[in-house]
Amino acid sequence: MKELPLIIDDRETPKFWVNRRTMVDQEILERERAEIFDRCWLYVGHESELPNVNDFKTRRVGGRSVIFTRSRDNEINVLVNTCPHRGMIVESRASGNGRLLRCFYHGWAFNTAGDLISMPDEESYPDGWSKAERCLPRPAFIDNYRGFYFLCWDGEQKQSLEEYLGGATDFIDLIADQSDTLMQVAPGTHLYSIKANWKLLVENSFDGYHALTTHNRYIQMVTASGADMKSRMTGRDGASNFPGGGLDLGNGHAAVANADQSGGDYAGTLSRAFQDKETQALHRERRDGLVARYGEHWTDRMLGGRNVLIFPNLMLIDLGMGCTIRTFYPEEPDYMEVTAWEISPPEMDERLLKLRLSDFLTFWGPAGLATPDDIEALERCQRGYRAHGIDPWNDISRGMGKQRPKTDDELQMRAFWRRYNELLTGEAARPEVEVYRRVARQSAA
Amino acid sequence: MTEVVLGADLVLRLEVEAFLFHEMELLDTWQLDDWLELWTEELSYLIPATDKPDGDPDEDLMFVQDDRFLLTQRVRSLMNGTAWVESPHSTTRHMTANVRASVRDDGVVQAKVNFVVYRSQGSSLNAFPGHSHYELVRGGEYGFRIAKKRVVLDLEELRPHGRVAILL
Repeated sequence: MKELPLIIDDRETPKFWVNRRTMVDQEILERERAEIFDRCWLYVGHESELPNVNDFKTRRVGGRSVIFTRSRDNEINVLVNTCPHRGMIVESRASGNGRLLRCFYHGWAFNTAGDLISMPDEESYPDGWSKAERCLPRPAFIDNYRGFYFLCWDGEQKQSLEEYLGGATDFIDLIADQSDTLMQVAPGTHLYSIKANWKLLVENSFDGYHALTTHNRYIQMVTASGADMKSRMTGRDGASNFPGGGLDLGNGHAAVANADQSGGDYAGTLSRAFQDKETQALHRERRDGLVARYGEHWTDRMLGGRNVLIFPNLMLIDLGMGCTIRTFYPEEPDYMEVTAWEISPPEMDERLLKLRLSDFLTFWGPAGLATPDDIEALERCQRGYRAHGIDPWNDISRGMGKQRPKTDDELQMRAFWRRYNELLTGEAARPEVEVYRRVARQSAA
Repeated sequence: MTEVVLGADLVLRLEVEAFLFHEMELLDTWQLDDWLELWTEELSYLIPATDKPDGDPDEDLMFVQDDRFLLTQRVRSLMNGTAWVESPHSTTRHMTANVRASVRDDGVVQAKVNFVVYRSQGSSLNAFPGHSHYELVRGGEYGFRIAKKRVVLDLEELRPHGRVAILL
């Protein structure tokens, strides 16, 4: 029996269907690991997480344990957390600071650049045996774009990080430009999990269509805080000189984005209302500072909403009231681990920062008033896929055929799925709308 | 003299325990509106992130930092069916132990408590072990009101739980 395709991309009808087998099948997961996670650039961490020399963080990237370090020469490194001697995990602490990373098994010790420094009884190794050949291994490539560090496991990767990111670099600029110095990841990490396929979180992370139903309780909260939800939610797409809506950024990257058109009246559609004039004044002050540096247009984009996928598994979601860096990885077809950080401009007034942290966890946190309902929705989808043999198809057709898809359409998901399908099957598809092109960053300085 | 102090400590602990047992019963029976009545008007309900158990809500990313407004909204959504994650309600059991209570100079009663909360829904069962730090003021029908409750999970990651949608 011929296997059904992974996607049906019918431009005539038009309709876009995704095979639910991609959500449940172990063999497909193995192909994803080989063709996607072992080949694409993957997010590791942000420079601000390592403020001091010899700081380190351990984390899993693409399923492998790595040590993210700032070494004595002030370089940022990504080392694979496996001892060259017998392969043991070298560093088991989640984070720390120390001159040496020590494998307790036989006592081999490495510096934070990964060089093998010492081991007991070195004299017993034969002549010609060299410590220099037994450093901690590194991924094939490491690079950063404005403090956001990525690795690539594939030595055959032809694209530099910047080429790989393409038009998505604008969307990293829109975050990085919010600080004069370096954006700062807050201490405290949301380390959680979802019993669902990882691609469901890709879709959910920029799904404008589900907001009013799944997040009814969050919107009730924002309304009860005194915010005029109606004016916040309507008439936002396409009303400014940045058209907004769903965007195909190329290479599988995609986004929903719009610009702030309030002139600084509020700090984002989903923020709790400012309860006093003082906070509102502080927010306007911040906006004025950004306008002075970058002009109205870039500032409006900066303070608007953006849910951005950096293919395959990094979401940068900045909704004005806060910004999350979210990455996730499939441990099983029906189980993913999610890690999320908050990032802020360090020069932000502490009263605004406090509000920002509160808004962040209340919306994006796994104990907030929104994300637990997303998690529940994704897990119930996954349970529904036990019937994938009865109805094999998810429908992702919303807004298909529109020249200018909106933020609650599904163009951004189709851009992801087309690239996904191409990497797994080799079948490339032409873009549905014109691919977003990088604009020259409008720095005033 | 020593015996008198010991007796007072014991009475205080029993008073605090009776209050906490009542609180846990309200939570396990989903009488959350009554549970909200146990709090003072100004309140702080905190859960730090698992990798930052000493987290400060002014500077660090937490799991929960509810004031009265947010806690009221949380309770309302858990009771009116819009919190899909708890619709239908899961079955929970709050266990409280190792209660240590003391009176601060300003009269606020501080209580340190170890706990485990079991949550079951369908075929899944999760345990949330942790310790809480209460600040209680005298008053109310049950002897105290909660001014502050800081709940620290004894988990290094929220996995495989994925979420804390119930009240701990």
